[in-house]
Amino acid sequence: MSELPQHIIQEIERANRRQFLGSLSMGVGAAALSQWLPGFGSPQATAGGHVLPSHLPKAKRVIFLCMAGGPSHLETFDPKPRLTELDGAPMPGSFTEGMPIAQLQGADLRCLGSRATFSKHGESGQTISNYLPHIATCADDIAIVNSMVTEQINHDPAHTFMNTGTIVPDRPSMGSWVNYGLGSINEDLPGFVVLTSVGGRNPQPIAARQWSSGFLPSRLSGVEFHGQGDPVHYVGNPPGITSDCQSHLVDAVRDLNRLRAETTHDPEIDSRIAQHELAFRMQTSIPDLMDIKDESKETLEMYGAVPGDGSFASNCLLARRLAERGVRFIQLYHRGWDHHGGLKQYMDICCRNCDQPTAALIQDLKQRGMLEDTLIVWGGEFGRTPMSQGGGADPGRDHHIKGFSMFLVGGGVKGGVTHGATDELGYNAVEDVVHVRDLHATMLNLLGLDHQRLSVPYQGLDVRLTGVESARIVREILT
Amino acid sequence: MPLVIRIPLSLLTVLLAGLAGDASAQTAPLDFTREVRPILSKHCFACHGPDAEAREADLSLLDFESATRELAPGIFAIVPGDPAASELWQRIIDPNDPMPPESAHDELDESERLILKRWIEEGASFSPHWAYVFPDRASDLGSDRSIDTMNVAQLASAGLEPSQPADRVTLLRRVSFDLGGLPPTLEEVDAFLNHSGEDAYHVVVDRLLASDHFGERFATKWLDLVRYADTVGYHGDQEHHTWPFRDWVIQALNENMPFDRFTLEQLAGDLLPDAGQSQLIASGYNRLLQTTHEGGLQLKEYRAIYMADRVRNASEVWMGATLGCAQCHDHKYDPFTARDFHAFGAFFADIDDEEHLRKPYDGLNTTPTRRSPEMRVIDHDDRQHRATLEAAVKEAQQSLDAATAQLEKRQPAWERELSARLATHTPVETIWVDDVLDTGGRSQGDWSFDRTPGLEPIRGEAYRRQSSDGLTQHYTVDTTKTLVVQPDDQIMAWVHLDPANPPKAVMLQANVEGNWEHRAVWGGDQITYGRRADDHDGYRRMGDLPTLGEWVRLEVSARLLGINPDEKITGIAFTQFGGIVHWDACSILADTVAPAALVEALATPPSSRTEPAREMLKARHASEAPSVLEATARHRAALAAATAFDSMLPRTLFTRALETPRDVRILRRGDWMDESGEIVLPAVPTFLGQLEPEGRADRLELATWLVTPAAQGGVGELTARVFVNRIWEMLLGEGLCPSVEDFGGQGRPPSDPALLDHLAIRFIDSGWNIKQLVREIVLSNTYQRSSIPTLAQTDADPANLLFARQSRHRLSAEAIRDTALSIGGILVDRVGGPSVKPPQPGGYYRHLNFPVRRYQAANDDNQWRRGVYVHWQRQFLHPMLKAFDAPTREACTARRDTSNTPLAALVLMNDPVFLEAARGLAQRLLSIPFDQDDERLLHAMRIATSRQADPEEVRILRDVLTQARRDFAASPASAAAFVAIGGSPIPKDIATIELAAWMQVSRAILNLHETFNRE
Repeated sequence: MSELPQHIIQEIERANRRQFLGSLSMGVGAAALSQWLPGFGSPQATAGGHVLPSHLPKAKRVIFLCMAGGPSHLETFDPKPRLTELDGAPMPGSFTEGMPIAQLQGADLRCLGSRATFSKHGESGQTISNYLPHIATCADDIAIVNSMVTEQINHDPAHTFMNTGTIVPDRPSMGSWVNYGLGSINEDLPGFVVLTSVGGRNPQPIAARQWSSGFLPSRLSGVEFHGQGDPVHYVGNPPGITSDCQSHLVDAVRDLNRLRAETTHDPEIDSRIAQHELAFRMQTSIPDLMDIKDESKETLEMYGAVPGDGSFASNCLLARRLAERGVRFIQLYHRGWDHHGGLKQYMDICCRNCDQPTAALIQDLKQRGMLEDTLIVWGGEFGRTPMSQGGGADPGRDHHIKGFSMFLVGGGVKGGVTHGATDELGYNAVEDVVHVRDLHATMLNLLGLDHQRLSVPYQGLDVRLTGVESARIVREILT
Repeated sequence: MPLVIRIPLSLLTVLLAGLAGDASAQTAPLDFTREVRPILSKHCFACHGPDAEAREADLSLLDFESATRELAPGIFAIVPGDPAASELWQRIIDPNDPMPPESAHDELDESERLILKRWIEEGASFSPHWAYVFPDRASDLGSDRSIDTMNVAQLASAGLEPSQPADRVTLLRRVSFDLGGLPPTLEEVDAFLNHSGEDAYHVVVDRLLASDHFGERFATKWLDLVRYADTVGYHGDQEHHTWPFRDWVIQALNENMPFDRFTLEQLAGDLLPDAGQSQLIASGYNRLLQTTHEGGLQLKEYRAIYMADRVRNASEVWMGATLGCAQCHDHKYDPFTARDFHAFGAFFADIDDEEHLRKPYDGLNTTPTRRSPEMRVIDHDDRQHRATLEAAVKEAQQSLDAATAQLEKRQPAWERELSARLATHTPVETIWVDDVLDTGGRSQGDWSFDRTPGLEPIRGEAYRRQSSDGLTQHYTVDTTKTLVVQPDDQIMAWVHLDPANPPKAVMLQANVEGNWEHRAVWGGDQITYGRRADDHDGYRRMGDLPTLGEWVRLEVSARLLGINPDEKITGIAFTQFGGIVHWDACSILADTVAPAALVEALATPPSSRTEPAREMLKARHASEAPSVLEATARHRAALAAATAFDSMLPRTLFTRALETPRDVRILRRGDWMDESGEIVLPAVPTFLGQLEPEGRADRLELATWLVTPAAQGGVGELTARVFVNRIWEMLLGEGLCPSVEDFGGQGRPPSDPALLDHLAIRFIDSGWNIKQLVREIVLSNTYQRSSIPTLAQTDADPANLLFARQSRHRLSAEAIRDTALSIGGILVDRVGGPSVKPPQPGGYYRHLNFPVRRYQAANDDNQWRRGVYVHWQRQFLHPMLKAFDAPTREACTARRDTSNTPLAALVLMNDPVFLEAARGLAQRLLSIPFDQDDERLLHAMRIATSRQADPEEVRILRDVLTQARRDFAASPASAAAFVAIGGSPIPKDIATIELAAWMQVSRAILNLHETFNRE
């Protein structure tokens, strides 16, 4: 084989490369070729693909701020005077009968009036609680949705539903879908990055499944960056090995691999060489990216971030740095929002952790002209019951899926609007109901993707983030 | 077993007709299965396929009759032979109102249109979907039926030449990786190269098939399919006990258990007439699914989720079918109905596994958690030890009986003495625990006995301080020390509540013979265990918190907690919500010397006493007699030893069938809250036949049906086809049917249906002999070909679907780990046992909670075990395994991705395990007295790649060596830090700088594409 004339060898390599592409387009769907092979061309060029940006995108990237545990809509964006009047009174059975109930199964259901005070903010006069004074200063930028509904009442499946649109295992999460559809902007960083922080009540477990690419190529999985310690697994050099030593090693491995490629004509070897070199670059670029010491004092103060503390504030600042470097989908988890008891106490802590940094992120992106093409979504996997849970001076609220609040801001979202409403006790979303898949469809629309066409054939089904049911783009909150 | 299966008439026709014929000639008519049906399935079946509810225009394109009938006067979808008169063709080319409609975003491309047109011209013949057509034994006869003749004939018809045989080193590496998951050792390479005889390769194959590594390698595939893992998967992702199932799979494969038996034992081992320990372990298959232990779960919701999970898995593993897609509605592309889905699920409705769903608060947030039922597993040696312990128990029992018998003479005297005592009785207090935890059994929480200045204990020398900002507890359970209590006895514990930081609530809780539902709560309602709106035995509200800042005794009567006379306390829990509580002595106060019944018996003249009264008095006498007490203590100790031994035995999940299976209703649109659907009984998918059991069909009948050939009424040939295709894919890189995960209408038709059928038939006829199947494939020329493609091959068959050459691909995650450890000479290849935890990055489990997790990496030689034994944490799989595409095993994985990412490159470069392997290789190299560096470099390459390196390769490695020697000489501290990696001892007899330099060379070799590529 190695005796073949050079032109024939080139032919084989060409054919091999075509085979490589062929297997991709069959196994994966032809959509994200530009991501696999940078420079291959725009997605439109891939005939037979399932993803074609259907319209001009308004957002290039998403920052999803997940308040894991499920923040109370009744203490943030959805005031209910009637509920306050009924504080301590039995919850009318007409609301709760036949409804799924989590930890309050079999319990005496009583109303719990809001523990917050609400006031109007900004020129738009949006109603926001006193727990979120900083976010309130962004009232004219954000679109509040007070009519969210989801289908899953326990944390783990509810997160899975929020991220993948289903609870069927092994489905891609939304960050993977977005990267599948749009490809990466920065070849030196993953297109989907996850950061987490704690504070408040007993932290929610968060499974790596929440950022898994499911049946899509694992390259599209979210990569978790850590605010403390090695920012990415194995990104640090071994002890005793300098960057120069490591560089020599990578060069030698490249040379040896190239020699091997000359005898076997395996196109995978080129790819392996490229990945090793990228890995080596990441060993420098990621620690640099994660080190926020070079930020100005003003910026650090605006977020309330202390370099290396792993806080939500630092993560918000990192989210901006990731956004600047072209990461498509950035997901931040704060794990302290499961307030079954001590609602006031833990709302104090969680809002102290999250309110200022969230507002700072919005302002910072705005100042840098990036808010217009960055979509930020804030919310939990579900909301909390109008009924109280636990006794004592500071009771809590149970999981609630029939009506809760989220807000969106940036890339193509209309500021200063409140969309949808729950009933007088904040139980059921009754007006302009927004299902999780409507949120997904809206997000994809802002990114220039048609949720009906962003699909991949898998096990006999054209799988979509929005599933088989119809989903509606919430045009009322779009510019 | 009475198992009669009726095959529908349509299938019988199909059986007789066999497969559609030969597509070799250019002018041959279109092959419906391969060329037409995929187009109809992809573009038309969503509205004109099996799902009757979704059907548009009342048109079905499933068969000839439906597609050619008159839809409206003069309107036919298809007029055979006449596209122009066929509405189907007219609509396809209609620019104004095309099919598929524009809204579907699903247009046909030009070649697809032309195929449909030609198909109508040729008469629009249909044939049933290939995967549901049984292989035709009659046509699978003759000498030309073998892998090679059939493959070569097919290649010839495609105008392709088969590749040359692979060179011997490549072949040896290939077959070693494929059958054992490890590279050949140098000795094995030399033996093969020096053995020129024809049988050299046969010898190698037989050696590999006989090795225990065979089971380890093939088990990996099976464990992916059945989604075996060490943790529950949902929410807290706690560990559960399943590793004996993994070992069962490895052993079954190594012992070459026939695949039909392999199937029966997993799906229905518990129902087999001869079910022993091994079959019960295998029946753990039904328990491998993800489970939740999250508070606030909905029983009926998870019942539906679990059933769907089982249907999805069993149908995919054994049938290559996506029956799970019919959960909410009839399948869009295959003839499975929603009723079929639920009826299939009903086979699994007898699996008794709902305790964790019914009692999510019952201490399940521990790891390992409890997933009742679990069984203890005992091996041969343990069995012998246990027999000795049992004999000791028996002997102690005999002396106890003898001592008891001795008492009879003294009975009247003792009764008089007791009467006297009763006149002046005092309460008796029995300490449960004070100053030392001596109750035996298990305990959980902080049991440190301590005292701090400023607070004296109320009893003894110490107390336990427990503090928290939420719910916390410490407890004992399954104790060897037990107390028999009477309703009037008081359960008591001393507490001292910190006035500066008092708890919200405190709770005293008794475990009575395994049941924790006996709780007394003081203070608020914050403690969630057992809490309900009403008061009950499992949650008695005792009023306010006791006085703060002083010792107070909590007291509750056994009666109030629902404990019945003579019940035995086997554990006590001390729970609080928030604050600081000091806990001191816990005891039981028996208020009378004798219960009322005993007093009454004593007062009755002996001749008038009832038998129970006599027995009661005898028992009481025995409980006070020193000789009996001593014998009792010995007996108890022997029992304790036996119990302790049993409690050390590993546990595993198994299947226990309910006497009355759960009702399975058809859930409309999969909605578990809709209870209006019809109840269905277990049944196989209707279009595949029907079981006729006596009474309700069970899992054993399902399993039997799967592995019974068609002639006897089952679907064995279809099952065999799915399985042999998986084995073929493992050995040739691609399935004969490329969609290994889906044999349905949306899958891809087989590239060589005749060969697939041939292998399936042979597999059944061999007695479902897995090793024979593997042997036959690897001994074929088709398997032994070179994997380097020729130009003609890549042009005609780029994806190698026709197997003119071998495939080449990166090794699996486990094989990469094993290969690195093996090259480094540090692999520990012990078979079986509990899962092992090699080092992983710190803090990786910080997202886990309930409980918070801390990873304890193995510090013994288990850290160098094979990948198949690595602890499988579903939510956070070991980062090395994950980087190389090992699946989380949340669901069935039929084929792994083989990605090529920077994260994987970082593992090879920097993961301490790979660095330790590099040091191992360096040590191996330096332990051989070579004269020159180059010889040593050549040897290093041979260890890793089995071949002779060429001079240019040696030169590059020599440069690495020279550079590294220079770098480390300049910084000896770096060299020392570098070689100190890993858990194995640093050799003293090798100069550190030299070791570090060779370690760097070894790293280069352990980063090569070739080292981890199977070619």
